Amino acid sequence: MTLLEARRIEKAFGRTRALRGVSVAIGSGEIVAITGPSGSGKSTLLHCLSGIMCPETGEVHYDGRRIDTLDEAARTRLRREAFGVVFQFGRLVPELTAAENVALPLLFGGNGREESATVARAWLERMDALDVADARPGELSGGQLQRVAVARALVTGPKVVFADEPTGALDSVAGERVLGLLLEAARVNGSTVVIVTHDNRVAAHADREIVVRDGAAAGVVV
Amino acid sequence: MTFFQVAGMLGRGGSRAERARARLVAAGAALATCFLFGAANVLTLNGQLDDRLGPIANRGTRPGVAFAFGLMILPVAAFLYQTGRLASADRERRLAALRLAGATPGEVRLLGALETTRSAALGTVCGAIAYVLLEWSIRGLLLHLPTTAAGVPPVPGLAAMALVIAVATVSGLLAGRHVVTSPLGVIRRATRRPPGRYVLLVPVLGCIPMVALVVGVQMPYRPFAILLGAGLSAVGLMLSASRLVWASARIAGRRARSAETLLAARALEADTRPWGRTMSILGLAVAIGSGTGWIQAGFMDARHTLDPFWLTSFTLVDLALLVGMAVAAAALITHQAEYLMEHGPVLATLRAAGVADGELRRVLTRQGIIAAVLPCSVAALIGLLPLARALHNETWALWPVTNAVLMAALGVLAATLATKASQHRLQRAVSPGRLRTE
Ligand SMILES: Nc1ncnc2c1ncn2[C@@H]1O[C@H](COP(=O)(O)OP(=O)(O)OP(=O)(O)O)[C@@H](O)[C@H]1O
Ligand SMILES: [Mg+2]
Repeated sequence: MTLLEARRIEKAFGRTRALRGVSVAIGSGEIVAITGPSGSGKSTLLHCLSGIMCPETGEVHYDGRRIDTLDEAARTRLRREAFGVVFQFGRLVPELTAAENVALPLLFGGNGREESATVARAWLERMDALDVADARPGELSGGQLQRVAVARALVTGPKVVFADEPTGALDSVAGERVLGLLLEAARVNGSTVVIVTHDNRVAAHADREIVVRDGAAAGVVV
Repeated sequence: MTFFQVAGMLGRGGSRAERARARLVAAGAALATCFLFGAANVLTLNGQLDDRLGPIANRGTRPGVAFAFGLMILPVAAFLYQTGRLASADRERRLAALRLAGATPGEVRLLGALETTRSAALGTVCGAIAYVLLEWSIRGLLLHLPTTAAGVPPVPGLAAMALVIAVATVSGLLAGRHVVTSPLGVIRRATRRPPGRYVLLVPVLGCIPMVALVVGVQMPYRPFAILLGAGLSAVGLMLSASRLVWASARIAGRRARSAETLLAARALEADTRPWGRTMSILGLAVAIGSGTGWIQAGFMDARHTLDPFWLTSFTLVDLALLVGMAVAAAALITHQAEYLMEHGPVLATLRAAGVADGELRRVLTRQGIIAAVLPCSVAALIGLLPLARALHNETWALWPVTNAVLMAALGVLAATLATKASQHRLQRAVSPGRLRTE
């Protein structure tokens, strides 16, 4: 069953045509890698699929609903309820501890402080990062940062996890570990995963690889 | 290439934030010049003037007015310091190229300060022209006095301008301390250490003689003790503002039930000093404003009327306090801009994860509220103390108390409005484009 779909979407930034009619369909529970050369439009595609931005033409559907025509508030609600995101550099709030960073989405969702903290710690444990729960992001290594960021993305139990180069800043050992934990947790949750990556080894973990060239999906590798 | 050629070259290139800073420094310098000109002008007046001029009309009260004008330099200096810090990382990044070319850190810092000096010089000249025009028209149109006699004598006028430029240069040099430039890039050296706890003793010490007075203890050298107490309280209030902000940020962070409050409190706790600087000026204004309530109540109690002289005097004091608070709070706008620049990618990530713009705006506003409530309340209380006295009709005591509450509320409002004023930057700071930058 198709959960997330882009139909001939186009997106330009000034003169740069980042996406030129991309169509992709992603099934429920699937793990998909989006690969391609630098500047080919991978990140832009991810942003359009996740409702962070809207394409100029074409359609984006999620769970049978068209989302690119929703207003900002409705897309924000959708992202909060159904999606989780991980980016390259963790992007944790520097003033909060790791545990508080993970608890943040729960707090924004209206959960109590204690309850959120308990759930956050449980997720840090699953991500093998309980030992740094009370450290600030400035004190963490790149790998630890990304594991905390993954915990933050998964803590609300999202239907889809979007990850843009989650291992891009890590060496291969740390990268494998982050990716392994992310995919395992997603499988247990039954989440769909969309990973943008340069790295062929990362792509090898996916069920399917979508290659983007010059703003168009050039091929699908199974 | 000479030093000055390099300085000129650097002046031309510059980011949006740097150009904004240049304009803000110029505005601050213009304001400072106007205040100093006002002080010089008042001191040169002769004889008794129209009663509607309030304290300016009487020879006896003129030095007081001049002093008040001089005091207005305080909020402007805080403003200049804060704007000097704005975009300092941007500027230093450009200057880092000079370090690669072999300039010493001292030279680089001096160049940075020179940029501030140039903006300040421009602002000072504009301020001087504006003041002269304004004074000339007020004298001619409103008071029908001869417009020929020059208001500000040239020598003190020029000295005032030189002083403003010097102060701006020094604050530029001081602001540059927070950034270390190495040939390889820029490191921000933010003081993370919380301000010391013992400064809180200073205002407490200052309050002792005043409390003693209120409860009716007999004191030797009474006027001197009260003056000393008031002075210590005022200085102590300014010194302890950072600590008070830090304390309320900590309490708010521990107690926070919402994500917005938690984010606001922790951001405040991590970077207390800019807030502390603003709150020390805001607090002083609140304390003075709260104190004038007693003076006003005393007058109304004794005379049941306010003549034009005193009405003008009180209005001028209130006006000066409002201007001071506005200028001090405006420094927060530049601080918030810096916060948004630094936290842009982090906030953009939160937004990507489904945090609404309204929630992010609340994070900014709550920083203002958390920072302002404690210092402003303490200031209002301290301001109520020194002049507490017996009134014939005790109902008049309601006036200073109401006044104190209003002043504290105004202080909090000023800080909150300043954070609201920076909200329009939020949209750009958290746009999806910021997800791409490191
Ligand atoms: N916010 C933006 N403003 C201007 N141009 C943009 C913006 N976002 C993307 N672009 C341009 O669109 C094109 C595609 O960018 P995108 O980031 O999607 O590529 P990418 O495949 O993710 O590259 P990389 O592997 O380097 O991350 C690039 O040419 C880029 O310069
Ligand atoms: Mg990318």
